[in-house]
Amino acid sequence: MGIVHTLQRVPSEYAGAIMVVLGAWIFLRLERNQQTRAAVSERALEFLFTYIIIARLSGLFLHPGELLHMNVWTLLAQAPSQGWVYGLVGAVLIVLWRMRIHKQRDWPVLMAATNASLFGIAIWWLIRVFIDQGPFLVRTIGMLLITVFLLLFSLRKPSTWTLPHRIWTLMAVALLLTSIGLPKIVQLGLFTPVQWFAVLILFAGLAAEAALDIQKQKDPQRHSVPNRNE
Amino acid sequence: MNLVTKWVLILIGVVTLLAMVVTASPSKRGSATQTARPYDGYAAPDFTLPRLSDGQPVSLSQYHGKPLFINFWASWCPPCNAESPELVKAYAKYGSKVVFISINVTHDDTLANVKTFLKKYNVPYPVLLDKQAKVSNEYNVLALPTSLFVNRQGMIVARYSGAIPNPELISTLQRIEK
Repeated sequence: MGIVHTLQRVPSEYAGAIMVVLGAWIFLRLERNQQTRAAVSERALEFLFTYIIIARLSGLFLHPGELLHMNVWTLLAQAPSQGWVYGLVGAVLIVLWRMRIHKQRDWPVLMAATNASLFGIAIWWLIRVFIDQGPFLVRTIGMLLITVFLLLFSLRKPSTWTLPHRIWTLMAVALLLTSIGLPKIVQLGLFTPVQWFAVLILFAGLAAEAALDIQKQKDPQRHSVPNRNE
Repeated sequence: MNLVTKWVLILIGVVTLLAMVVTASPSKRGSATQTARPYDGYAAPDFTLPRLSDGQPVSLSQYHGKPLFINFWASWCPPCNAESPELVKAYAKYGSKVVFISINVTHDDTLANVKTFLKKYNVPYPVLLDKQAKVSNEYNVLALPTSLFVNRQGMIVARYSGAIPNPELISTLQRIEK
């Protein structure tokens, strides 16, 4: 009971990240290419640590004035309510940058990372099926089905269509569509934070698609068919 | 499909999608689901607890239609002590617009320490006593302090474990008092 009680104290946003990365790590055990497996596993751990640190400490950057009149340890014990957004965006950017400096941003690594992430995310949605209620449960079941479908679609015989940025773009579309029936708890301008995050992924995916189209126009031989089994 | 057709279709799709998301379900904005759970987006579960000052029972349901700030605390908890002066200041500013419900987890505290705490910080808002920890268990309070903000529709819009950063306290109070 003590362990269960302690685990309950882990905030859901960190528990979610831990479950997703754990799921991704398990999925990566099935990856045949050892280099790809090692590369994605390293980045997954970096993602987890960066996410937790940024999400936890974003209050220090968001509310620096608090430092002036509050005990620093009390401040460190506080996490801003939307810290997960900063954590996710920051962790994704840092992982992409780390992939770039390690020259790992090639199709097999990106695809393995995408599939492993989808598996981890599916596990997280599956857990949430037993937690959420009402419209949140409808959203969760919808996202679980879509995530599993996208994973199976991506895992099927390698196709030139199932590129990582397209999978993430479809995930963003699914997130936006399933968010329609939810109560709007926090609204920042036009969207809720989850919707803003989905919009960010959507436009990043479209930017990647546009870049691919431009590259194809310039050099059709090199970029026409990215081989996922390279 | 040529590139122009592809991108025109993508553009139409994106604009339609974003328009749907922005305009869909406007009636649901800020409304709680029918399900009562102590988390964001759900209706705040009802409870009845005795008031410290006169022992009279106070129910959450009697504040229906009013924005609420619910704070679970104990006198021995350092972050509860750290945030109390900020809560007292916030009450002075927003107490006429937002109902402050302070719940002492008396199950893990003593009445003498509670009274010393309230005197030390000149706490002006009413304090309820959760002697059997029934409400704190129902609200799944795993860390102290735990604070919840409830809008006029009865929906929990924010839940904090640990002391609330003052800018977030003020901005969330402003959000629910509208």
